Amino acid sequence: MAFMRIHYFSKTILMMSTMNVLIPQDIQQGEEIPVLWLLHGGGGNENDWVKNTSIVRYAERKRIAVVMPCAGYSRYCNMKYGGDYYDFLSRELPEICRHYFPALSAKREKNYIAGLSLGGSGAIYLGMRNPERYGVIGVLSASSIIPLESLRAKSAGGPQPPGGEGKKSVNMLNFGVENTDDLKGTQYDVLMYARKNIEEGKPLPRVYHAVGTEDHAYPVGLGLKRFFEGFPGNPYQYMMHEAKGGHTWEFWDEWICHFISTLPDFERRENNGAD
Amino acid sequence: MALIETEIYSQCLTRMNTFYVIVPDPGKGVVDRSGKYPVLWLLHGATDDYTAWQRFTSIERYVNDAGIAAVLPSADISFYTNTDGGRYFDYVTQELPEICQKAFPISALRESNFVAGMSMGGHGTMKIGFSLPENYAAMGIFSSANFIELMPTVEDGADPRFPLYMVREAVFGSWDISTSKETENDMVYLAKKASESGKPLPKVFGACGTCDSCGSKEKEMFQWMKTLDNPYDCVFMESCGLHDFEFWDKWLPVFMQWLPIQAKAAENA
Repeated sequence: MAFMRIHYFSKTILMMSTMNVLIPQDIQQGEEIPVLWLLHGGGGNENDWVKNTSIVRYAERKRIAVVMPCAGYSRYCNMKYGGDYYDFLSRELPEICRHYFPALSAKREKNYIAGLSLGGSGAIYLGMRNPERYGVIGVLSASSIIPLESLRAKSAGGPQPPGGEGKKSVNMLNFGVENTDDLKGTQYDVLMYARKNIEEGKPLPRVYHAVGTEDHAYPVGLGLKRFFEGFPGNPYQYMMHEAKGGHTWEFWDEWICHFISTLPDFERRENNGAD
Repeated sequence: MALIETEIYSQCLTRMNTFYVIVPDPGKGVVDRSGKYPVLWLLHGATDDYTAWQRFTSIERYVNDAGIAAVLPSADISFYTNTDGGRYFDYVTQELPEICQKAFPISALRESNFVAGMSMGGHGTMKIGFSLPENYAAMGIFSSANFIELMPTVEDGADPRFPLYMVREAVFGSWDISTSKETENDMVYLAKKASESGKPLPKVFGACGTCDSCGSKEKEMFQWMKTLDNPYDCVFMESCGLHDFEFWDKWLPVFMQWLPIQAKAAENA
């Protein structure tokens, strides 16, 4: 497994960014490697998954590439006061990655998006807005799902304003509002896209969801479960995994491993390029 | 000489931040009277990050020749200012020095701390050096000037979304940059305030290309700094050049040779 740390310029957010990329070393001619787009949580960066889990081992076993970008203090959206991170991650980043690493598949069934906490919310947001791009969405311990955020355990509090006490909150910087439930029916409403995708007959990604029963995100998780169970016939093949656990790397290490094990296996071609 | 890529959780930014530290090898370099290496805080420009100087100049060779350490922080497009997106000024001037002085053999003495940068990093250098003259012995300003005089106004045809779209409101507090006059974002104001403060003043080195649009402004500012009642010990260099790393790579080693490094006197054997 090659581990690459890439410094590159984003025209969308107009600055340098860094990402980590894992790619199998023995790619064959013409092989299209499946890609997992793996997002970090609030206050994190591109190194979090590598430092705190055995993602390299899990990716190697499934023979997938993993792209771990950095989203700064964005909530994976086009920020009201900040960069257009949604456009950056959903449009520019895949182009950049497929340019530098042409073996990365562009096929829907070979592209998956997942994340933990804020990154889990980002994964389902990017996935539901782009159902034709991702085959599977993995949501771990997410509580920032609009418009379910108010279900979050109150004891958890919110993130500190990046500029310090009395400065704009993370919500204000991202959305221009304090209470994200007010964003119901807007471009940030994940559930709205989930409904629309069905109504418009779009291809639907499978949704994988895991959350610890001791996590402040658990009530939001139950809300998300109720939402998906409201669709007759389970069109998103939604599956929720509840287990004893909190908002911790022990939980995410265990469940990212399980999530990757549920991804499809593709047969390796034995002959170079011969179909 | 080790190039150390370091990642920390910053309280001032409420998120992870990555930076480079360059440290002389055991037995190499010069140490000051505290037994630690003098250190250059080298700031990147807008849209760049901590990798810029390392990638586009021979910084390691120049640091090696000077025998000192260097820290190359990352500050997004903050202009090294405390903004709603993070307290970048506090990060670079307080949190980062505290962490680095504990983690690496770098000096905390004023005489051994130098700050320099290009473009937005030159602005950051002025902001830091003029706000905290008691913490830095020398400054290096490459291709910069008082930014509030450099930025185009909306009337000049500045596109509100590009470039540096976050900067006007997020950093300078208003689309109307003139409201920054005589505030912490006005480098002329800060330089004057420092000169009248009675605090020791850093030595200042400046360089700008003659074909760089900020060249005349930087030159004017250096001439002005010499005319103050309590003037700066400063030097301004210019040569044919643009706003690019070809120019900065040419003048960075000259600046490094100019630095007032105070090495501990060799002990008698």
